[in-house]
Amino acid sequence: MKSKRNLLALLVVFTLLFAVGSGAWAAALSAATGTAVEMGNGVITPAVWSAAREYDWYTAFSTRTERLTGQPVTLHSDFTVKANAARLTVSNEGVRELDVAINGQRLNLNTFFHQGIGVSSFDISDLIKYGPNTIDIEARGKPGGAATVAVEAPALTARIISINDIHGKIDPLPKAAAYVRAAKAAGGNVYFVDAGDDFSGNPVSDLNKGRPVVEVLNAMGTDLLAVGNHNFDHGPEATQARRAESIFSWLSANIAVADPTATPIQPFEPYKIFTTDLGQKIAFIGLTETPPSTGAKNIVGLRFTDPLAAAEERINELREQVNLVVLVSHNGLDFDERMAQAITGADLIVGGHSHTYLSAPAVVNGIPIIQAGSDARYLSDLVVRQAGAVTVTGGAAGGAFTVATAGMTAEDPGARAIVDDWNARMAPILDARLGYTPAPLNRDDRYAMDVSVGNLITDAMRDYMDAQIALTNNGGIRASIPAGDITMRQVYTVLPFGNFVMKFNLTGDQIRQIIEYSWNRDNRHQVDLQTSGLTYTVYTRPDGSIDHLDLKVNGQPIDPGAIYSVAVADYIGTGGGGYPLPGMATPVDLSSDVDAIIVGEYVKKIGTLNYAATAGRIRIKTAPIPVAVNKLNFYNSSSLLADLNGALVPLTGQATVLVSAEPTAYQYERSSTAPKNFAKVNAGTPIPLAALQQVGGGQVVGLGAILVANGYRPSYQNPQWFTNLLDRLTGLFGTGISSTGTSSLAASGASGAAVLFDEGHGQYYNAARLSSIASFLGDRGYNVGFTGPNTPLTAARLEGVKALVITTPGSVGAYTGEELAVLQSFVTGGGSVILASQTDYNNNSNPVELNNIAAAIGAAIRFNSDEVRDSSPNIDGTAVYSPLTDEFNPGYPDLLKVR
Amino acid sequence: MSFAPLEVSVNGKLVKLFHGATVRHALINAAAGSELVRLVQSGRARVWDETAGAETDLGGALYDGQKLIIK
Repeated sequence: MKSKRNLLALLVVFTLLFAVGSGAWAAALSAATGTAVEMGNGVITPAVWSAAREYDWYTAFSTRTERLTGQPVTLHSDFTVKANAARLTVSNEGVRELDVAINGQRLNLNTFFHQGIGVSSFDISDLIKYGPNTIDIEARGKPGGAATVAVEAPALTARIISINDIHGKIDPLPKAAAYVRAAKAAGGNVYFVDAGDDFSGNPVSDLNKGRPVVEVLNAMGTDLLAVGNHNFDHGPEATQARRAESIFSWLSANIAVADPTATPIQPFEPYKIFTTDLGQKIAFIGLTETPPSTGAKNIVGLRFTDPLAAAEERINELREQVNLVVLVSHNGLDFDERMAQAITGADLIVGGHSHTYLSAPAVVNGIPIIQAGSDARYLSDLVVRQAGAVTVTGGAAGGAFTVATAGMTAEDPGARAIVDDWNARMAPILDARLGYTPAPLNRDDRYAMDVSVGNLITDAMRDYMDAQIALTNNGGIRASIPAGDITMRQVYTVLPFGNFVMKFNLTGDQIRQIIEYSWNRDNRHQVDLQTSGLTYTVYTRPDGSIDHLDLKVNGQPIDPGAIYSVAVADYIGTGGGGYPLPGMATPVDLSSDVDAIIVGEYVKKIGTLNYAATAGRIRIKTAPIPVAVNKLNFYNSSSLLADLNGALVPLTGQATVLVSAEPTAYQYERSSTAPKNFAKVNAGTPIPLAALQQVGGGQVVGLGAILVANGYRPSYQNPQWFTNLLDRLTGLFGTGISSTGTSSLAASGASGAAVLFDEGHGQYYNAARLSSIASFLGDRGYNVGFTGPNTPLTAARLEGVKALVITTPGSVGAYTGEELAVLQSFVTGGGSVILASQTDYNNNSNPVELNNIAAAIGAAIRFNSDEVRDSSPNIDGTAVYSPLTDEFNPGYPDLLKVR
Repeated sequence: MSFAPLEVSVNGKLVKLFHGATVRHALINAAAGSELVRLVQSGRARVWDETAGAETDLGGALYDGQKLIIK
C-alpha cells in the first residue's frame, strides 16, 4: 500500500523564488488549499482544524511571501506534525546550493544537486518527531532560479479485516486464516481484529474451555480481541488461561479489576496502538457489553463501567497521539449506532454481539460500523484511508465489504492442522468415561412420575446454579442412558438442544402456579416438569384436572409467601411451552454452559450415580370425589361457651351456633390442672362446637378444634366446610369462583394474604402443620399466608387480610394490649377472626388466652377447658376424642355446599 | 449481571424478555415453543432485524425495541 500516489497530502510547502533580474530572492510558504494561518515569527501553528478532527493535520497550511535582497535566502520555521512519517520533496529550477536541516539535523542533498535532478523526495521519518518540529533552509543561486521544498506526510491507508462472535466454531477458521494471511502477505497495514464472543457454542471448544479457538486465532495472525461477554463463560481461571495463551491482546476499556483477590483475571489493556509502515498510529479501543451476559460467578471481582463513557475517555486521551481511532465494540449494533451518534473522534466501529450481518457498513454520524454475523461464517474486510477525511471501501474481491468463509477455497495449513487435531481429539473426549451408573437412567415414564434421568438433570442444574429447586421440561429430555459407563456423547444425546439454565427467585405460590400450569398445559393432564429440591403430588379429579397440589421443598411444605431460588431450562424460563415465567419474575442468573456440559460435569463430579428408576419426587394421586358436607370430624375439640357479665355460661343466644355435637356426645374434663374454666352446658342442650357472631363490621367464629390440621381424614369434609366458612367470612360465597381461578381478594405477599394464619404466638399449628389446608385453599383461589413465628400482629401485617385464623397460643404466646387493640380495630373495620381451640388434654389448650382475645374484640364466644367426646359416632368406634357430627345449623346451607 | 426487562417484536408479536436474552429466546417466547427456532435452524427461514435492516441469527443478543421478522 506504500506508493507514491499515497504521498499526496502536503503538510508544509516552502517555496523559494529567485526573482528574475532583480537580484533579490523571494521566499514563500505557499498554501495548496488557500487556507491561510498565522505564521507569526516563523512558527507555523495550524490554527484551523477540522471541527470533527482536531488531529487532522492535513488541512493546515500557511502562506507568506518575502522579498529578499540578493543575499542567501534563509528561512526558519516551526511546524507541527501529527504523524510519525514524512517525506521532504525538493523541486529545483536553478538553485545552486540548498541546505535543509530538520530539527537541526542537516539533510545531505549533494547527490540531488550533482545529478541535476529536478525533483526528488527524501524520507525524513527518522528526523521528524510527532509534534513540534523545526526546519531551516538556506538557498543560494542566481536570480531566475527557484526551488520548492515541501514537507509531505502520506495518507494513512490500512486494511482492517474482522470477525466477531465465533462462538467456538473453529471449522471455518482455516479458510479465514488463509484469507487473512494472504492479505497480510500482500503488504501494507493489515490488521485482523476479533470483536469478541469467541467461546460457547461448540462442544469441541466448550469441553476444552475455549483452548481450540485461541490456538486457531494465534495461527491466524490475530492482532487483537475485544473482550465479549461470552469470553468469560468458562470461568475466571479459564478466561485468564486463554488470555495468557493468546499472542494477541485482549482489550476492554470498560472492565476494571475491582478486587484482585477475588479473581485471577489480570487487568485488560484498554487499547492497543499500531504503527503503520509509514509511521502513522492507529488506536484500537476495546469495549465490552455492560452488564455482561454471562454467569455471575464468572465475573466476580470485576467492575464493568459504561462503555460509551469509557470510549469517550480513551478517545480524549488518544486523539492527539494517533491518526485513526477504531472502536472494537462487543455491544451489539443498536448500541454501536447510539454510540456513533453520541461520540466524536472515532473513525470506525468494528462491532459484535448482535450477530448482525452487515454487507456494507452502516454509517451513523459519519462513522462507519461493520459487523460480520456470527459463527465464523463471514469476515468483514475494510480498507480505511485517511487523507483529511476518512473513507472506507471494501477490501474483499470486487470491492465487497464482507466475504463468506464458505466461499473461500484456500486453507491455511497451520490452522487446518490445529482444527483437525482438536476435532480428532473430540472422539475420545466424547467417549471418555465421565462416571458410572449401575442402573439405567430412564426417561420412559417421565409423563407419569419423576424418572432417574430427569432427576440427574435437575440435580445437576440445581448444583450448578446453587439453587434450592430445579425444574426441566420433559420435552427437552431426548434419550435414556443405559447402565454402565456414562460418556459425554450419551449426555449430548439426552440433551441435544444446547439449552442454558436460568435462575429465578420465586415465591412458593408462583412455584405452585408453575406446577399447576405444567400439569394443565394444553389440557394434557400429565407430568411435564422433572424436579430437584421440590417434590410434588398432584391430586386429580376424575376428569384429570388438578384438585389440589401438595408441594414440599426438602421435605417441608412449601411456604406460599417465601422466596425460593429456582433453576430452570431457558426453554421454559423464556416462555417456551407457554410457561408463565417471563411474566412472573426476571431471572437473577444465567448459566454460561449449556445443559449437556452442566450434566456432564456433574456426572464427573459425582462419579458413581445412585438413581433408582423413580425417587418419589413426583406423585399422582386421585383426590377424593368432592361431595356436599355431610359430616365433620371434631378431633380433639373443646366445647364453646359464652360470657355473661364475666361469668361463663352455656352458649345459647349470644352467638349463632353453626355446628353442634351429636346428642350422644358429652363433655369430659380431661386435664386436672390449670387453666380451669370448665363449665357444663345445660342438660339436654347440644354441645356447641362452632359458632358465629357479628361484631361491628366483622365476624368472629369460634371453633372447638382447628379441624384442618395436616392428617385430617379426607373421608370427612372438614376442608370443604372450612373453605365454605371462609367463603362466607370473606364475602366470596356466591361469586362463582372456580377451583383453579384466581382469588378476587387483594394480596401482596404474606403480609397482604387474604387469609392469614397466626403462628407468631407459639402456636403448635404452624405453617408446617397447616400446609395441606393452605394448599387446598390455594387451589381454590385463596391467597394464604402465615405470619411466621415470633411475629407480632400489627395493623400493617393485617393490611389486605380478610380473615385471620388464631389457633391455640403457646405458653409464650400472650397477646399484648397493643395487639388486642389492633385485632379489635381489624374486626370493627370488617375483618373476620376465626378462633380455634382444642382439647384440654395434657394442658395443651389455652382457653384463657383465647377468651381474652374474644373479649378484647367484643365477642361473647368463649372456650371451655374440656374435651368433647362421643362413643358413637366417632371415627373408628373407639376414639371417643374424635367425634363425628352432622348437627348443622340449617340456616347456613352455604357451609355444606360443594365447590 | 443485570436482567433489565426489554421488549422486542417477532413478526409483529410483542415479546417481553430481559437483557441477556437472545433471538432464540424471543422466538421461543413468541411461538410458546420451538417451532420458529426449528424453522431457522433448518434453514427454511431466516431472522431479519427490521430495525437494523440486516440479518441476524439465533444467538444474536436482543436489544430493546428490536423488530424481528422471521421469513
